[in-house]
Amino acid sequence: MNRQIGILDNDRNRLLVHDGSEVWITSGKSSGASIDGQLDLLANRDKGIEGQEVFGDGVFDFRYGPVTGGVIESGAYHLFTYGERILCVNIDWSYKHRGIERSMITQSVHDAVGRAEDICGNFAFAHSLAFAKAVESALGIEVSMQTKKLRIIGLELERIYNHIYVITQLASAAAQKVMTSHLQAIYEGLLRLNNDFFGSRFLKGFNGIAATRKPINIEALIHLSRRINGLSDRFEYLYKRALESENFMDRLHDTAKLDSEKAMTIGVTGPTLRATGVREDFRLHDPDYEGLRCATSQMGDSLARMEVRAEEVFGSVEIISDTAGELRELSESGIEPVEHGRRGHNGTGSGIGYCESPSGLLAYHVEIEKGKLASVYAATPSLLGFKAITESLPGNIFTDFPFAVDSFGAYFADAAR
Amino acid sequence: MKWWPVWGLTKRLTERKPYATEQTVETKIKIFRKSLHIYPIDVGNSNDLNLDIRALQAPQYNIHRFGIFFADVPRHADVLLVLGRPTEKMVPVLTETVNQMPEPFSIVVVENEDPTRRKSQTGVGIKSLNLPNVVAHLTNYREPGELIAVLLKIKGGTN
Repeated sequence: MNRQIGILDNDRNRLLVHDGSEVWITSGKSSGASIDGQLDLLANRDKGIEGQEVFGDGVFDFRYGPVTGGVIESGAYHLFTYGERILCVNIDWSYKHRGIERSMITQSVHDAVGRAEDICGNFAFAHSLAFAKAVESALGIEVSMQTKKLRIIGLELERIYNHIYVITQLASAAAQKVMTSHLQAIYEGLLRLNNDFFGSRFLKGFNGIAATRKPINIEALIHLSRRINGLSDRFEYLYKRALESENFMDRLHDTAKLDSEKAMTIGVTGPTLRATGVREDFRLHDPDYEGLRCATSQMGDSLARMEVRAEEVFGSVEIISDTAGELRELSESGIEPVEHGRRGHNGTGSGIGYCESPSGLLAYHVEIEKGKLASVYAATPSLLGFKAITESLPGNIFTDFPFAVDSFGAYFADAAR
Repeated sequence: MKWWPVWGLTKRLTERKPYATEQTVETKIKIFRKSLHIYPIDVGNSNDLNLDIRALQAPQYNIHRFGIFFADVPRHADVLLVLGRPTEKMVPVLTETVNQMPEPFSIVVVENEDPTRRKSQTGVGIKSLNLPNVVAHLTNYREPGELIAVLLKIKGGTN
């Protein structure tokens, strides 16, 4: 099933679409009128999701954000309720819109990598990777095997710490104090590990166009495997304990449920879609991820989304260990040293780049003229993640709110750009 | 499996290193020696600052031992942590939040944008807002230890 993720012109003629395995551009006219609602969402993506309202006795708009202890980012939820049950949700992330894509225009492709990272700091590596792939596709640049493997390590590290963060938030919302503290310790350990090996707690400033922006010590990566395995063992112990806690499971079970049909109609990807039983992951179609185990779950609720994330943590740890070993072998064989720094890329062209970020498909379309960006479009997973929140939250009660929202892993910074 | 809290106690996760910073902290308030309540406000950062501030709650830092606590609302806070460079739409929200702070209060501005990318920065410069009681402005923030050091200076003590 083809799903729209972006509109590249004002007339809705050029659409960015995907089918779960690749991303391409198609004509809007050939897509039919049935997708108008989806296109309105994409066209309104600087502001948020609005226009839904419920009226009735005692129903009011409870505004949650942009300054509240419960929503850490500057955005606002409009919850229509009569006091307990949530009847309808609108989401306003215009507070967070920074116009980063616009600020990238006329920049050199190298300078713009850093701006792509600034769209969403906790998806910084995924943004830099999708952007770099788009530029490399536009300019026909080959990427060395070692750089590709380093990118796999960066992307999987980002997946692990993001998933642990989400599970920590869920545990915290359920007042699982001891577990939350231990998960926070693992989360902090992962950020320190990122800093030790890639020079940034959030993996910024490392990935570049066809090369890394910093030199890397391949020998040290073997220590990374050891440390990440240690943190994974600690997480496994905690996760088994969490599954034994009826209190915790009860809060997640049947909360913010989404079935596969609805998830596909919304166009949401990543752990949210896989938690509805759909085996879709862009890494499955990447030859560098040979033998990937794709974690899925069936229920489509907050618990299923947590299960998928936990399984993906274990999967990513294995990928990192294997890839670090392969990198070491490549390094010892003396072929293809890791390139770092910037090279002159002064070509002209357009291209698409994408990757499986921690919360789903992240795609870039770029147009380049003589090495400078003429247009940039970032299709981010959080936009559709928030749409999934608005579709799944009605019917739940107020105290379900954090379990519902956090389990989707959607961020205002990512959606608002 | 050990009883859950016992398993936790055996881990000894809190680190013993000193937190130091060369950042100047301009405060004359002396009443926060025993406890300091902080409220972080995101004014448009790329979310890594928000997640890094969350990491302050990790047992490695154990900020409660210094008497530092997170407040749920600005009205209960002693220090407002302004995270990032404000978007235009967040400027009035930030101003109103500052108005809601109880006296005496301090503001710490935390930014982490790469200084080489200043030309392409979006949003409003924090200095142009003339916020009151800004006691520290961290322009190239790197990790939570720096922030703890600043908060300890505001408290008027060191660890």
